[in-house]
Amino acid sequence: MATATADVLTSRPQNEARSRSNRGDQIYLAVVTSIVWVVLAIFAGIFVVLVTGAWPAFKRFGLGFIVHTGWDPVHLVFGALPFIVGTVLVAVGAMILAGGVGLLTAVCVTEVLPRWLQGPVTWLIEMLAFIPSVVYGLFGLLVLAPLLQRTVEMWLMIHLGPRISFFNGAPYGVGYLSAIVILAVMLLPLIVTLSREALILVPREIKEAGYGLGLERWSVVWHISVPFARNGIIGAFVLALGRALGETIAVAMTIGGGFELPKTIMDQGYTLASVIANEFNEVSSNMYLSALIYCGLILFVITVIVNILAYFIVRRLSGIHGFKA
Amino acid sequence: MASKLRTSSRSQKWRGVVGFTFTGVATLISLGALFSILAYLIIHGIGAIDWNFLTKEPAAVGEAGGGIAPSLLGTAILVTISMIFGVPLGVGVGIYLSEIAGETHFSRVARVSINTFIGVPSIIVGVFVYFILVKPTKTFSAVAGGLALGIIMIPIMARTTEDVLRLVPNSIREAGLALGAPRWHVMLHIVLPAARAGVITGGILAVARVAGETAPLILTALGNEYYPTSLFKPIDEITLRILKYARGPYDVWHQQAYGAALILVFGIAIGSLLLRLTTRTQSAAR
Amino acid sequence: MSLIMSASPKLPQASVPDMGPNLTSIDGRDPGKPAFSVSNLNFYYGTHQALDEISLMIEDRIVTALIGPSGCGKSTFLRTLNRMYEVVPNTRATGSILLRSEDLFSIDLTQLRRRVGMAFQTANPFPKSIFDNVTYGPKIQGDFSRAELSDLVEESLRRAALWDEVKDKLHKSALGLSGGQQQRLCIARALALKPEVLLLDEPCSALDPISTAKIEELIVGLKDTCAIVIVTHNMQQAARVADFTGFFLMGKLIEFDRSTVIFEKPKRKETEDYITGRFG
Repeated sequence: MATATADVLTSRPQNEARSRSNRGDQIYLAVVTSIVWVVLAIFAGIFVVLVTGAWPAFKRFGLGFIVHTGWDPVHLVFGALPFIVGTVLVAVGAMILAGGVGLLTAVCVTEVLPRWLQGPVTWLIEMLAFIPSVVYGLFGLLVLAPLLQRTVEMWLMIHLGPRISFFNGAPYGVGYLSAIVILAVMLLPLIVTLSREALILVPREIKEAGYGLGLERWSVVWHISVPFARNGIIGAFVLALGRALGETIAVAMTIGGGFELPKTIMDQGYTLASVIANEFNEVSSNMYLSALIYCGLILFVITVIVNILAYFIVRRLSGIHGFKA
Repeated sequence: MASKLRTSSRSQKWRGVVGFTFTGVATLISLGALFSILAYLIIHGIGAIDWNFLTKEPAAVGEAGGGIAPSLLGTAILVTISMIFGVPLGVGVGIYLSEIAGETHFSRVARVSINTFIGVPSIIVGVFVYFILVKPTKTFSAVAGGLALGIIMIPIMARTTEDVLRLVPNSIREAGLALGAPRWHVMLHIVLPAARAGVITGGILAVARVAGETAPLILTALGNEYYPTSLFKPIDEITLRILKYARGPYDVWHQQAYGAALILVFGIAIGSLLLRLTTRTQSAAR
Repeated sequence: MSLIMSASPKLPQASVPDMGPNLTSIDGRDPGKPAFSVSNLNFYYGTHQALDEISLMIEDRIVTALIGPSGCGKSTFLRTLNRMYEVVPNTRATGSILLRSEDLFSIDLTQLRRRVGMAFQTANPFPKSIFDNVTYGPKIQGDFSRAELSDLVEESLRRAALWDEVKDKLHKSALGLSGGQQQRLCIARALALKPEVLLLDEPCSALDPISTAKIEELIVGLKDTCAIVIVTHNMQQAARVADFTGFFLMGKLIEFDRSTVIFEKPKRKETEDYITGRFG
């Protein structure tokens, strides 16, 4: 036995391969890894298809497509600026409404409501996330737009219109404003849920320290809890922004449709996503189709950037607080 | 000094009253949105729902009567096809991310891609499937619609699977390996069964999510007035039906749109509720 | 006895146990052969060296305890004995370990883990029934009839001193057992594979004194069928159950000897300091 020891005494690095030499495991690893490859190939394929589809329009209009207005399917002149502006207007508008209401709701749910009400109210607000986009679109088109037309839009036109031209539009009902409001409702559950998760993680000791300094409850909430949860709330907002930029059907149903830059918030127009949804089956030429795909490519690039941003913000947080999106 | 402190505390108090009032108002707005949408669906939709509505084909344009049976059937078909594509791929990716991915470049790319693609607008997926399936076959089809929904399902499914697998304590994986079980066996016979309830819940959530998707279907399934006859022909789906009826000029259509929306929303809500209850009792029994 | 002496001339730290006359050969095992012969074992997590030139012999049918302060390498060492470290990426072992006279690193992993059972710091039963927990290992290793499995379950649970407590609820979930029962179930699960060696990684660290006493009793009862290596923080426990004790410090095996020697008159100053509580 002593001699048997001698020749294995030589140091030998352990290779990983040997530990996985089991055939079943080899198959398992191969199957799972190839699934990942397939999925990554699909994702890459989406990008490739968009680039190929957008190529004719890219050759014709170049990057100028992004900064030009004018959308003329007859003379085949296309520029996506109105839709880009529309996308930003609708997304930012919805974020302002939903961000404010959502954050305040999250504060209410975590800090104000009695414990027995917190669960049910959160659950109800989460229910909003279960409602499909098309139902929001239906409600927006048939209920909200006429309501806004009679109330908010009329008021804006009469009272703010004369002074601020951005509000000096004709109250059509459907248009940017309706799209903004309905989109804001759709973003609420996401913002409330994620902000609430961030607020819950504020350690009680920190809040107690605030009370110990003689601060009122509101000051503790506003000057201690919310700043402490700031990173989580930012993560929630970025994720919601990604959703807002890409939302299609509800916006397509309420925004009215139009190919010009918005002059007032009551105008009818399009976002990048909704112009594809509404015009795709109407295309009359290959160049028109290609221009729509070009819009899709722009949208894709924007949402990928926003989502990568969100991913890294949220991941950095998960390292710190165990925050989960 | 003392009086200054007192006034500041009084203004603090006032700010508190105002602030908390605002949070209350915001919460009422959030809840109000939910209740008004549900109320409208119920008030306007309940009248549309009867036996005929569930079992008949759509009536001729603008006429009263008719139903959404082809849309319901089409929805079931599309969701089934989407699960055939989406569940295995999504679960596979989830297993990879939770069980296999190390600190390699490949796993990092996979992880970032999956998390990024959750946020890619569904209409983009519709464009993709239009070009790889609809255009080459020269027809909109159920398969194309199902494929689009399946692709949308993949990252959702992958992330929930990853999350629930991570909840399974590592110690029981070690226990399996220490008994000489190969990794695949531990995965299949210990980890997955332990996470079963979570994976199923994730699956249902993913299905609920794609069952409400409309945008990609416009470019792939298109919609139809009749019962589906082939997987390679255009097919109707409930959200496409709602879209069409909502945009139409007829009051009958609007009412039917509400009715269909009511069925869809309550279908999703009851489905998830039942699921939550059954998985909860299951995990309690374990 | 003399055979063993001659087998370990190069391993000065490894003392030779008195095997006693009562050993009989079962399972065709050669009772004279040590369960493990470890020479010049080094272990690395990435670039961090966790074990430094460990050499020792672990005898069959003897309880060997490994003690030392946290992070001294005792658990890492235990995990090289069934290559559990391989689940952690970027780990590397050099040197030699012989299981009986076979090169441990060449043994098929499934076979190795069958021959070298393990129980962990916290009880980790599968979320399955008690019965299924015990039969999980055997079912992977071969085909057993239902009756054989039942016998095996009873035998294993008896050896783990758990049978009387659970015999009426074999098909209930293992998660319904108390912490101490769960830990004994985990030991029974390992015993069902009839291992030659049982590795215990601080098996009592999460248990109350009564459960701990039961497990210690069970450990002593098991040593006529297999070798036992136990990592423990609890020096009294090592003194109570172990025939031999090794003291680890900063990745090195400082002293390895009969427990009576280690705990009563250790040869090295570091050992004495640790035993008497002067550090760690």
